[in-house]
Amino acid sequence: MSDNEEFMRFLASWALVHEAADEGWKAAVARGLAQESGDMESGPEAFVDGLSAIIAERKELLKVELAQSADGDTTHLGVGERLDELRFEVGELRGRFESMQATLDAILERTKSSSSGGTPGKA
Amino acid sequence: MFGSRFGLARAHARRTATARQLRAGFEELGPAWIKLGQMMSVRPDLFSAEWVFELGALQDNVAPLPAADIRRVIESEFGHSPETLFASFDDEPVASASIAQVHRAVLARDYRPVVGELLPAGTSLAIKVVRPGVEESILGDMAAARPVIEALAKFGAVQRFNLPALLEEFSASLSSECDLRNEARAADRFAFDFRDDALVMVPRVVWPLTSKRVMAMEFVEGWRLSDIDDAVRKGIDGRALAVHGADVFMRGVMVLGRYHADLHPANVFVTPDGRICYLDFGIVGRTAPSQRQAIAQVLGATVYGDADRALRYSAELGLCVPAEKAAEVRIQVAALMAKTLGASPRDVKGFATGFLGIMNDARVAIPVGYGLLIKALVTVEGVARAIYPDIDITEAARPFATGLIAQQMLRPERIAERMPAALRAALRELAS
Repeated sequence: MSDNEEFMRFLASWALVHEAADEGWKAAVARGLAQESGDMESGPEAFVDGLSAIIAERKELLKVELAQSADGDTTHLGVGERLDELRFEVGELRGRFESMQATLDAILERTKSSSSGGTPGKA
Repeated sequence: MFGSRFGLARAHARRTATARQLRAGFEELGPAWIKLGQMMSVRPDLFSAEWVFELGALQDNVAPLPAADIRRVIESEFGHSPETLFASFDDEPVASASIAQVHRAVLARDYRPVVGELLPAGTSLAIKVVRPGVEESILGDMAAARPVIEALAKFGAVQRFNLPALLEEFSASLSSECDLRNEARAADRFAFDFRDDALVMVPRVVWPLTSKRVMAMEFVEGWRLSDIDDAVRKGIDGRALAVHGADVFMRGVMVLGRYHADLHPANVFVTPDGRICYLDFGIVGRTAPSQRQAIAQVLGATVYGDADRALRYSAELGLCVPAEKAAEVRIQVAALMAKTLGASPRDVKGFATGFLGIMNDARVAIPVGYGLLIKALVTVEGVARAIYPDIDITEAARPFATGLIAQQMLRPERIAERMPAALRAALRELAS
């Protein structure tokens, strides 16, 4: 067998593996989707089928996300999440400052009231 | 069958009867003891499962204080009368419990909360106010009880509870609960964690009107779980909400690492637009990433009825069964799994109660976090069943547990370890 034929046979083997894996994957997803509640617990094969169905659902979600980013939403998901977290932390700090400010105002109000002899707690 | 075989039914009945007496006694003794009972109810690591679940149902309703007392707290915290702080303030309380009392008010000016949309002026608010002197009063009661507790602690039967340390812990927990800023922060965090979930609602906190003893938050109308039938008649999909509630809990435990650990029916209600509203974030459970993997394995093994694997991964969470008791405990847990989880619908509470009972009888220490998680899981099941009686809460765990287990299985070192065998198997398949 020539080198070229061997190489082509190698590629054909690779394609065959790929095709077999793809068919196996599709069949596992189909079996997983057809599972009833509780079927996934019936053994390792059922577990893999169920897992395949869950992964297939996540793959569809990923496709939608990628399509959205291709449509102009260029924000990288990881960066977006980190920015959200940062925004929350800043918001949380603002909340604490606002609460502290209210407490300080109350102390100031009491100090003013006691030095002027007025009734505490009235604006 | 299982119960009588292992002599557990009698012990269970005895512990249940004691728990009921204890609950009635605490309710009669008043606020300090109700609080103590509530704190005990989140410690299955220390007290029997029967006590924990019975005390979790303590009714925390006490006679309301006169509005003048509540107004004095608000004025002392902000230096202004409620009329100055709010567009209006209702002297009639909407709820009254041992630690705090809640009144309605109306927001005077627009406020941008930490999480969520702007709250416009005119928004209805719930104003939670710590009852004046409550912390001192409860701590005073506990101080009075201290000599009795120290004397009790010398008895062998209760020595393992370390009662004096427990009393100290309760005091710290009480101080934290009396500082409403802690609850407000936890509410904001929960709202942020579930910001993308359209079915989750957390009242927005108004921070300029929140201090140590006052918490102002959006007032949310809705159905209590006791009135859920009315909600269903109005078109609310009870099953979908129950499934989603369980999903929120599992996501908290297995993905976010933070979960509402006190989700009893009074802390949840359903809004007219079909959302689940969460209240009272006094107790938040936490799970580290490594624990989440083990929790997924334990949940998975429990659902599959694999007692050996459940106990093996429980050891990673700190639940260590001594070697000399391992075989006996494994047999008991397997039998319990078959009895409570083998049939449909699964009885998660029955399993949890039996499991904690087995550990208690075998004198196996339950780690604090492990116990809290079991208690929270059972409470969530109770809430979900109040919404939809036929729900199987373990179903909600499946996608999260499966994902985590798969993540562990697909670790590069594990794949490298298994790859040669997998390739050989694939080639055999192709050749055949």
